[in-house]
Amino acid sequence: MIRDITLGQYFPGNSPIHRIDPRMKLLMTVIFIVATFVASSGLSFAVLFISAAVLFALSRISFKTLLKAMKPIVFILIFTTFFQIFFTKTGDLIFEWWIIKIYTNGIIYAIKMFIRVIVLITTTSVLMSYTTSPIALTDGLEELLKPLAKIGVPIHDFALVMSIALRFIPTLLEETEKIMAAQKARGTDFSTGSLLKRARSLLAVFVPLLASAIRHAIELADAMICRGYRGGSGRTKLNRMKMKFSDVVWLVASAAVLALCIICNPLTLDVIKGVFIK
Amino acid sequence: MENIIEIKDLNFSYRDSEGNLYPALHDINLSFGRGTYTAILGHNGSGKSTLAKLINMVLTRDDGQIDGTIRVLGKEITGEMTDDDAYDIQCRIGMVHQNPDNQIVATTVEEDVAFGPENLGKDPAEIRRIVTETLAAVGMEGHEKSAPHRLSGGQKQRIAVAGVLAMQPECIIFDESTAMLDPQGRDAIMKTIDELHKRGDVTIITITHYMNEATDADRVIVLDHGGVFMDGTPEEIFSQVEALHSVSLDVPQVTELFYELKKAGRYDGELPLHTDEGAQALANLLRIKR
Repeated sequence: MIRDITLGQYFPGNSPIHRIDPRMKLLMTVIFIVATFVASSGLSFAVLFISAAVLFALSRISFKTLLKAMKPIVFILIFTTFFQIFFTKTGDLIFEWWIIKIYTNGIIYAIKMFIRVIVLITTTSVLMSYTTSPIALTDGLEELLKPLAKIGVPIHDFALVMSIALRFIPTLLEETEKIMAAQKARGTDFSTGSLLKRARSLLAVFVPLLASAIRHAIELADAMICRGYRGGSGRTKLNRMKMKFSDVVWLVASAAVLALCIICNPLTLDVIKGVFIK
Repeated sequence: MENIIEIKDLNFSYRDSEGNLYPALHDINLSFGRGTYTAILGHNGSGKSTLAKLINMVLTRDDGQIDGTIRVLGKEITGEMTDDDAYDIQCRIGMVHQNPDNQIVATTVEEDVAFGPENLGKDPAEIRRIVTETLAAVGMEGHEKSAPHRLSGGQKQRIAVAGVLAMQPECIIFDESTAMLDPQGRDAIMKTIDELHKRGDVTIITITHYMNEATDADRVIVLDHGGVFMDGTPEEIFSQVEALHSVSLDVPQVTELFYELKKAGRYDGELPLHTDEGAQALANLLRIKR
């Protein structure tokens, strides 16, 4: 059945990573993204790699799942590694055969790039897609962006639109299934013929689906008005997000990783040296 | 008894975008007492849903031409109204629609039930209490964290009822709320309505074309072609089998059976409305014969 497909890639669970406040997870993700880009020394890469490994281990997500997340970028990974190894012409020459010359820096850059990408994918997928439900992500984003509402950005409306969209995905999938069955019963053939012919038969699904989505929207709007909805102002929440002490610890730990990456960056070291030598 | 809704000389016509009028209701004079349970019956196009939508202010002067007056909770909603007054009325008159899927807003049961009180700005502890209470009232306790799309149609509709109940309305209108449900789901909703009625503090109006669902009401109103055709207790209404047939409505199957028996001269008591009464009457009949 179509309706059994999982929404996004969320794996329900109760690991320490699952329990982190979604707002913190969003911030941590941003921190890790920045950290992977400023990291340059061996030490900072080691720390990044270890912290990504720790996050992954704590999340109790299977290694196979993580590999699946890597799959789309395997090509890019191989491609960039290849370029770094064969086209970097600095450092000591360690291998030469025909026109291929490999230098030490090529190897080092390749390893760094490799770790960078791996850490990026691991942290974002472990922190966000695998351990945070789409609805928690939406709520977290709404809470984080709330200050923007003060300058007139309709944050609440965006969040509501997002969560209603998420809420209706299973309903619309179920309906797609019904419409397809109904069209099949009338002789529509979805699986054979040229691409154009198949696309055209899918039109017989999309048009009724669109009509029904609009009908859903109108009725839902009526029902929401009947239940006293009139925008985000004055609304309270049943489940308020509460920051736990552990959430703060997580944030501080991630910030420490970022700080380390910044400090160990040669550019920063130059600046520090400059300051002290003067 | 205090009347929660009073309708006087109401005429309503839908207006399309070109300004053409389509009459939907005429000469409606009805009032609904607080705490009563009324079933409104009618064939498709008889105007029953239109009436409900007018009471609930889903239909307003923007949608058509309204003559006459409707007073809800003492306020004349057909006249000029401030937005806040209109909002207040809408919050106090709840409505359960036909399709449960189109009434569920949130991705978990508890958050959906909480949607109404959240809009009212109640504080989280109070909302929690309301959610627990209303879920118990519809017999869905223990499903707080479930995803609505995993529930059956009858369960979803009970969540929708809980969502409306959570607004703590004084009147709930069930607009063909069982039409899309299977027999079990329908029974569950009817049981919920019955329990709400027993609590006595909510006025209930059900709109339906299933005759069986009207037999439990205190009062049955039959609409036809936009006017009130009959108004009385279920016993009064369903004894007039031929009149109901003339507006293409049926009577409950058990009533129909005894009506036929009566016509054939085999029975001369009151026409039963409920299956168990019918079974008893049938047993008596057979005993006499023997």
